[in-house]
Amino acid sequence: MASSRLERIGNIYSRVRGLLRSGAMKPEDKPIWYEVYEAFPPKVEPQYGRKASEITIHPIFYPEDIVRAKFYERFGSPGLISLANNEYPTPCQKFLDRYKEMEKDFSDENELFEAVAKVMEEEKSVPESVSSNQPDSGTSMASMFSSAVSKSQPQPKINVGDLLTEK
Amino acid sequence: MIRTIANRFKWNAARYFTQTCSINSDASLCQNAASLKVDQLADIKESELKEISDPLKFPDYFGVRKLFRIKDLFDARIHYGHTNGTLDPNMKPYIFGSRLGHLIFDLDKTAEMLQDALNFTAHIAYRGGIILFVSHCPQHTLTVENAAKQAGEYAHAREWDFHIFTNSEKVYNGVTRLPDLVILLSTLNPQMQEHTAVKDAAKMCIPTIGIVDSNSNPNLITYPIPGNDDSPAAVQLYCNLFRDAILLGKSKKPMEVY
Repeated sequence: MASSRLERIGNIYSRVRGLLRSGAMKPEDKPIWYEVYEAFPPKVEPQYGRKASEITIHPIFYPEDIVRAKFYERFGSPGLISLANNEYPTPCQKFLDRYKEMEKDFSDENELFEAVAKVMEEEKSVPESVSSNQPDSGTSMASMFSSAVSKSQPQPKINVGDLLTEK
Repeated sequence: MIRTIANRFKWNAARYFTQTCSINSDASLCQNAASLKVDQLADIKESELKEISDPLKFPDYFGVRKLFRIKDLFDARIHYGHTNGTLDPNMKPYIFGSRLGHLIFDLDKTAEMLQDALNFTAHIAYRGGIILFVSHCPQHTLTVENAAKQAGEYAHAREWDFHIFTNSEKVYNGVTRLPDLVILLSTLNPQMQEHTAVKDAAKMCIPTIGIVDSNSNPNLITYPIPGNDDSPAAVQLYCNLFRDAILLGKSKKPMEVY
């Protein structure tokens, strides 16, 4: 029975069809999948050298992202968030819900943010704001790094030649 | 006399009596309901019966569309791709967007292609084809092999020997029948290169169904399914769906005619 192993030319359907038409493959040797493929062809024909389409991938942003950024800047992250658990909203989510509720009362974004922050802090629904307590409280990665660098001793310069000439 | 006897017995006994009737050219006497039905069935040719109930004529003969909803795909984290830097250009049409550098698949497109793939699987199982589950990710070996066992089909979730398809008669030392469908749960091997089965199945004219992640090339795969192939939850969902599609296809297999 004839077969065609040229995977870069056409696709499996076109090759088997060619073999059947030319008589190299007998009709009784037709593969099981041939008729199924004819009835339900794939949406995109498989082809080895198909050129990739010129589509730009767009970043996904939501209008609430601005509020989220401000929230994390002010209050920091609670540390551990379970992505699998959908029951309990995170502090940021609670903040966003309250923000939406109070949106109609204020026209200025900054005023609204401060008002919501005040309300939430009173309710103790958010952790104490990071920036208001200490500038280098150390809860954020950047501040921890900068404090570590400033604390570390300057490394003494090692002269390799001296090392080798010792003893 | 013959009519009353036929009334008392089952339909196959009645058929015997009607046949004796026709030999005596007294067929008009044997007119009870059971014998009538049997005569009509015997008149319809076997080929006509096949055309009436040809599964290929229906868009979803096995009901694979009902096996999953888009929410199930979302809960199994199928929409998570890798990061922008590892994107294969051929996967661009299937990406919804990038969230802070992480690629998200368009689940509408994934769902459509998954339905096509499940439908194809069910038809191949219906026709008695051999189906091979292939995966080289060590984390998912057990999931894949269990799914194949439950479906009554085959799995190769270990290191791939290069000549399994292309030189099978030498490797197995005898006449071999290659699979009629290869389902790849991951088209990459642990070295992050394209799995040999993709190219070899295309060489041997075997259709493939493959889960292509954002860093894989879907060009050689007959029915690619863009989606996450790394999360255990995602792989478990795919295995369950393919197993169910195979079992659906096998359950509707026509009874063997002796």
